[in-house]
Amino acid sequence: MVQPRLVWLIALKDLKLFSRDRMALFFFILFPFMFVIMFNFILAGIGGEDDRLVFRLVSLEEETETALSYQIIAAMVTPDESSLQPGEPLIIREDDYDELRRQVEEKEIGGFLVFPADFTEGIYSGRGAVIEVVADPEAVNYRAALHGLAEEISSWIGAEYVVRSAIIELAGEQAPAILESLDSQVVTGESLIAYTSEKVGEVEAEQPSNYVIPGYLVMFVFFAAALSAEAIVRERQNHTLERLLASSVRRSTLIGGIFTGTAAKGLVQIIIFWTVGILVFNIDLGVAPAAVIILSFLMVIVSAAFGVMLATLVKTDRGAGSLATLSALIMAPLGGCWWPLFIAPQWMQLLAKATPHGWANEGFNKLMLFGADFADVAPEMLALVIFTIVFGGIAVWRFRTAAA
Amino acid sequence: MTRALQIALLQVRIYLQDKSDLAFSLLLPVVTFALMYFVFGGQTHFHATVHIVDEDPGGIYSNALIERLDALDELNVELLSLDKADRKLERSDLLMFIIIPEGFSDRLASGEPVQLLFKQRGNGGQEGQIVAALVRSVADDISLGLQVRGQVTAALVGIDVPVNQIETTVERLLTEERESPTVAVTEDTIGSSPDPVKQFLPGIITMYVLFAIILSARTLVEERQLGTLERLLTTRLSIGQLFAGKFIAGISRGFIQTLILMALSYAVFQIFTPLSFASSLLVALIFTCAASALGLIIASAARTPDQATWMGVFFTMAMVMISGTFFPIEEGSVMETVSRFSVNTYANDALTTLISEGGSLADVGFEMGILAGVIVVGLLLSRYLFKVMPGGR
Repeated sequence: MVQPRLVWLIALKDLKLFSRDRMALFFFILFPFMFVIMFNFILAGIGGEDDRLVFRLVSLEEETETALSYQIIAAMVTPDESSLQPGEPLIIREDDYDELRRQVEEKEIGGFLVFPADFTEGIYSGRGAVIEVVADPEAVNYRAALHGLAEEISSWIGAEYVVRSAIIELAGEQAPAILESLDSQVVTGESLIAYTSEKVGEVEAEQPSNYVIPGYLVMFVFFAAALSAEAIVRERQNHTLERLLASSVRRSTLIGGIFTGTAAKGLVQIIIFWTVGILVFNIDLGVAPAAVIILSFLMVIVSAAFGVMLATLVKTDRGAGSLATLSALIMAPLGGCWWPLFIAPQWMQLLAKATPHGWANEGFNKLMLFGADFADVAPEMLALVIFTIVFGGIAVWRFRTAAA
Repeated sequence: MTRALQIALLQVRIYLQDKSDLAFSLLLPVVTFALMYFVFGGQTHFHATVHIVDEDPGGIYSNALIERLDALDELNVELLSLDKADRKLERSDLLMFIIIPEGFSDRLASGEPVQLLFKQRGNGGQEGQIVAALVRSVADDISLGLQVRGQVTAALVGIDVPVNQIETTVERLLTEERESPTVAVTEDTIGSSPDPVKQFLPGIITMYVLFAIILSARTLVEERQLGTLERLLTTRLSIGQLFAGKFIAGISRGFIQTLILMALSYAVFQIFTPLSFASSLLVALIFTCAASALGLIIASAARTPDQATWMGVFFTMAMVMISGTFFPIEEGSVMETVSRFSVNTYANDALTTLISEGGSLADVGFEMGILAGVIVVGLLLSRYLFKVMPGGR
């Protein structure tokens, strides 16, 4: 049976020690904001890029009436930039292949499309042809767009080829006459799917604090909780815990008090983080601020359970300190505290799910960056509850008051 | 000098026997580097989410469009209601979404033109425009399939070919064309992507070496508090020898750590030549000397072990943070000026010059000079502050 008053007294004692430890206060409360300020400064403006995509097409064929590449380029180039819809790419014909290569080498442009010298001949001879994407490997996004355009051109030509092949196969002797009656190049006609765009405002760059603050909040709440394991082990080593047992304090009360004290420190951290975040960094808690608060609370609970569990896994306070630092510094980057998880590869996002940090960060990102509502982050909340049960279960099972 | 070396040897032996210390100084850098390598080095392909409002649910062509978009490696599809998509767009939580209009499939099936609506902010952002280009490519391909069927059917009017046969033939030819296109797309990349190994390795190594040396300042403070240092002075050991021993201990510990990490990098990534490896070790040695001197300053200034730990952690993280270990610093930026106050910057620059740019020791003279300056100033200051008993000399 837990003794609530004693639980509260033990927690209060831990909280008092924390509030008097200037170094700890500096490290766990002020220090993270140095990271936040720096990353806010470095990442400001990222995500606000909205220049219209420009595609450059060049042909190495000799420019004749029958050269297919020139016909394709002529059909694709933008006649008048001012007539383009928002988001519609600008397509330009270029003639100097070497100059374009130089521009890619100098990273002035991301890439361009090339129709080789034997393009028309390859198609008419049935041998097939290629369209070459020449690109800077660093321009990952632009390369994808160029590939999309090249595939589109390939589909058009392929469709022409299929029409002709089908007619030859199905019409037998009448095929030559039918083919002659068709338009010499464009047999498929206008696309059945047209595109329109509706602009509802301008692109606004995401505030870096919206993902930097939650990341460092998660990291330092867990770091503080993990390091509290050192104090717990020290109390075990110097028999403080045994002395408490010798008085009227029960084992369950002791665990409850230590857990509550660790959680209380985490609560102080999150209150300060969110208050400063809102007042100073103008962070946006999204459409469901209540969900951000509940997620923060769950994160504090799971971090406290983690801290108490760590204390039960080691024998010395030095070992506890090392394990706490080691686990904090591995789980933080793994769980997306140093960089947002959504920029990491898919398998790393999956790996992050092995840590409570990963679930907490994903929940915060969903709520604060991607407009999620309460129901959207229910899986993250549930995962944190499960982590709490697992960590707490291990802590209760292994908790010892004596060093031996 | 022999006595100083004996003190250093003892510290190295303790380091090599302490499993948690070894894990911290060797395992943590490897794990951190591996994570950074996979996050920043593996991103060679575009990946984004396409947000779609499907007002033609269950339609054959709307489903086909969504399935084909989802099948692309570059995209994953998120279906939204119009209200939710509008709200997200309004709040800039997304920059572009696509509306598949009601009757999309029926109209396409009857050969009527349809419109896909891109609702967006500005041009849809860079990512949104690329997503739009990919969507257009897939939608055009679906349209082309229908156009081909229509065109062939129209061309064969008056010829006795069953509709089924036309359908089957066109479908087969379209499949063949998809599998073996008349026009293939190839790629020629110019230049190379930044190598994450060369980009991050120097920073990670210097970060953890500095961390380990600085954090060992705690041990010195503990020895002072327990009176161990004072007891040592009752032997023939002088304060100078004790100080030198602690300085060399820091260097030895840091250098062993660097040697192991660099040898691992050499074996795994083959980023060194024998000469660049030897030159890098020399830079690492100078850096560990500087770190050891700085560690002694902290050990001398701190009154309690906890204070030494906090000071060490703060100092290391601040040095790492401003040195561009985790992100490239733009030339001429304010950050570049700030980074000049970090000892790690000079070590990282020197190692990068040797490893990535094929430079020689002559090319890193400036960085070595600065690190040497840190050693001299650090030693003078720490010797001045050095005490063997709390509050004592």
